[in-house]
Amino acid sequence: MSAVRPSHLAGIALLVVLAVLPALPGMRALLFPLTLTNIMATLAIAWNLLFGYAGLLSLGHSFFFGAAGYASAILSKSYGIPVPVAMVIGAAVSSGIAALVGLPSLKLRGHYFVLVTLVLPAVAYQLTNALDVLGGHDGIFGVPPLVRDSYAVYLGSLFLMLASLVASAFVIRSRLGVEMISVREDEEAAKALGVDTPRVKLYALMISAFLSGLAGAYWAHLNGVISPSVYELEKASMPLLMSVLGGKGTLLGPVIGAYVIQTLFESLKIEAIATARLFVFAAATFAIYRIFPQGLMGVLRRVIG
Amino acid sequence: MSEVLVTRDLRKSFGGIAAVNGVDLTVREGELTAIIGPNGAGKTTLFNLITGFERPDSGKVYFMGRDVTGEKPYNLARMGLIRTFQIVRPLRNLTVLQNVLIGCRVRGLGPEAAEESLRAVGLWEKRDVLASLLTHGELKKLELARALAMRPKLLLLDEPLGGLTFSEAEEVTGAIREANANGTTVVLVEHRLRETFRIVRRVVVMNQGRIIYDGLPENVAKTEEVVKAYMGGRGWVLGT
Amino acid sequence: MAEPLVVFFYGLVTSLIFALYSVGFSLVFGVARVIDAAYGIWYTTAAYLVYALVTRLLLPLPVTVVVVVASMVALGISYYAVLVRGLQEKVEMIMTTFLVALMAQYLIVAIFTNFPWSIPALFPGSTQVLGVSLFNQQVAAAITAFLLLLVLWYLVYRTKMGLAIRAVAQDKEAALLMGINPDRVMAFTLALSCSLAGIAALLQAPNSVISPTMGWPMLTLAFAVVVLGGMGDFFGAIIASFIIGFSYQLITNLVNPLYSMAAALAMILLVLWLRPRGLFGRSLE
Repeated sequence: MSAVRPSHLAGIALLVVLAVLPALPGMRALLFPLTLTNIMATLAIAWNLLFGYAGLLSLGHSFFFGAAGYASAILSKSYGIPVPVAMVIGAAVSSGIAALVGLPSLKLRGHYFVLVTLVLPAVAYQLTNALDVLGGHDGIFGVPPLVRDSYAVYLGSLFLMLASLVASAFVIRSRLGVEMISVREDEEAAKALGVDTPRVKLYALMISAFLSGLAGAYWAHLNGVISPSVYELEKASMPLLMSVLGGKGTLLGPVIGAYVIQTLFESLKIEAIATARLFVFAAATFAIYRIFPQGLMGVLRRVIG
Repeated sequence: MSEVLVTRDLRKSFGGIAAVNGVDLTVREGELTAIIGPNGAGKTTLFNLITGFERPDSGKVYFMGRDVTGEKPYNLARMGLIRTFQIVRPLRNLTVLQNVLIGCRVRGLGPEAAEESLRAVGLWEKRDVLASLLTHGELKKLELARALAMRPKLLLLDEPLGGLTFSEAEEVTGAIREANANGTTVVLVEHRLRETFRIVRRVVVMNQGRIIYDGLPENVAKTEEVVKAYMGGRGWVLGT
Repeated sequence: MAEPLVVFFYGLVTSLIFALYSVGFSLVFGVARVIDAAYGIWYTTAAYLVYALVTRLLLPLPVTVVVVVASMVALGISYYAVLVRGLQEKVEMIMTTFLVALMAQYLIVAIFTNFPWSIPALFPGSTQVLGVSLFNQQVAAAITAFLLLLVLWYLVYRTKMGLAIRAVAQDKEAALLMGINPDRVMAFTLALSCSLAGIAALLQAPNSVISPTMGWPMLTLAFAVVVLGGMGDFFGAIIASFIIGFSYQLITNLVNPLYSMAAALAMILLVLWLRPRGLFGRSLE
């Protein structure tokens, strides 16, 4: 524990490269896609905390992402609340709704929870479409940015991803983390060991929703607009594809998955393949899930070890 | 001696079949009791009712003098009422030590409790092995260690010897006896009567959801009703 | 003032089609113990198949029906044999079937793009009934759905296969002892459910536009029906379909179509909260 491990050094080196690379001349075009990648990685980290560690499958994380984005956009645009504060409040709103809907469904069996997560974005999509207060079909325009400088926004997104990573590492190593894993492994056995399983699941959901919310709020301020399309299936399935591809239940898996998918996403923007790329991701993830349940992280470990 | 566990007229039916049909059981501090009986006698259901995994149709459960009927399993575990399962339920992707530590943390105990219990069952050398790599015998021991590490006031063991070799069973009964000698009250359900009767001083026989015998192990085979329940009237194989 | 009649009639059509569709989902859950997150995509797939056959290959109606149903049966059997059969654990099932759904959906996008194609009515024109103008397509859909529900009831409760289905739903091991081959029963159930999804698409999709995501609301509604009516409960599913179908049409016609889906879904959350075992409390799980 005392000495600095080579893997830590490699991590820091990688981080420095990531921080500096888009600032280099000729690399400015990378700024926006990489910012987006960091945001999606944050969402994937949040999703993975819930599924990879507590075993709770969410098919609707776009809801926590979008709800916080909406809340933060409205708070900063209409009420003049400073953007960072609005983001945190937005994430708290997501977390609060998660607690509200999670409370009844988490007491039931796992598949009811999946159902609820499937329903949430669908309801949110309909409501935001219908309510003019929420901008209706066109959404909310002119969401104030966090900062004007796009390189600073990029660094901020890198920080957001890193902070979520550290936060989930902290959670996983804490007592809550061990209890989450015990719920994932065998809920009944966990109960016999004195684990208050509904509460553990609730906390896991709230933390995951909060992190997803931060990502969603960041995304809304990055784009300057948020519309009901945020609740569409693509946003809900991305964190799942990224985490499973990278390695569910591993700390770095979601980040690796996010970088792989987003990089491919950008490079596959060629017209011929553009329509097929989502199919390629889904098929690749499916194959990885069936063959290597531990994802790319598992493959990596096998190669190294 | 004070009463650790009392059940009053406990009943539970599944679709018209009474699994537990009016059980009054009192367990006092320091006892080591075996519950035996033919398959389907209601032993495991009784455990489930006591530990909150199922809710009784009627009747009461008192633990340490408190009415805990229908209390959540995890709250009971925190109060010191610990159980194991008939079918081993390890957390397979955790190491042996991690498996044991969860319960310790929940009970506010340090890692020394985990070490102590793993040594007691002879698994300390395997502490960093993933539970999924253990043999069946080792898993049974892990299950026992996990329960012991929580320093139970009352320990309910559901077939702790199931599927063990003779030497493994020897080790496990040794660990159970030692825990009991150190003050843990133990109730166990078991089919392997020979090994069981060597360590217990009280035997409760259940049949069709009722208690039909409660007394010394020596006299079980002399009770006609018990013999009937097991063998349909013929003499039976006790640990002679 | 024909408003109540409009609500009644469209409520009836919607409910019957929901019922036909949801019973398939409910059966798969009750018998194979599979929560098929891909159940929405079978609906979508069938709709695109209808579109391809009718507008691109210009096949006549009877041929279209036969091809669609036969394809869905084949799909259901291979889906079971290749994938579903090997799935054990619930969360893994949902995860795997969800990934299948994503693949299938993006495959559809790759082939047909996201353009909202429209399918012409298989039964064109409209009829006046009690002063209400009804599309013939929907009259036909209602009648067909009703007849098929009767056939389905007969199949499940009056035939040997139905008995086997119910036995497997009760207890797989016990069914084995009774000489039933659960594998065959489950393959049959999957084939049945896929073809029900296909038939629902055949009835619903013509005379409207199709999209690659059209199956998700249907899956959600089927889930809602099963929650409301109880898992694996045939009559529960039908009653629940009518409750949802009618409230859906009531809100569409009397309040605002934008709220109809949200209201139906909010209802599920409420039911889960208040009566987790379903309205009739006799769910299997």
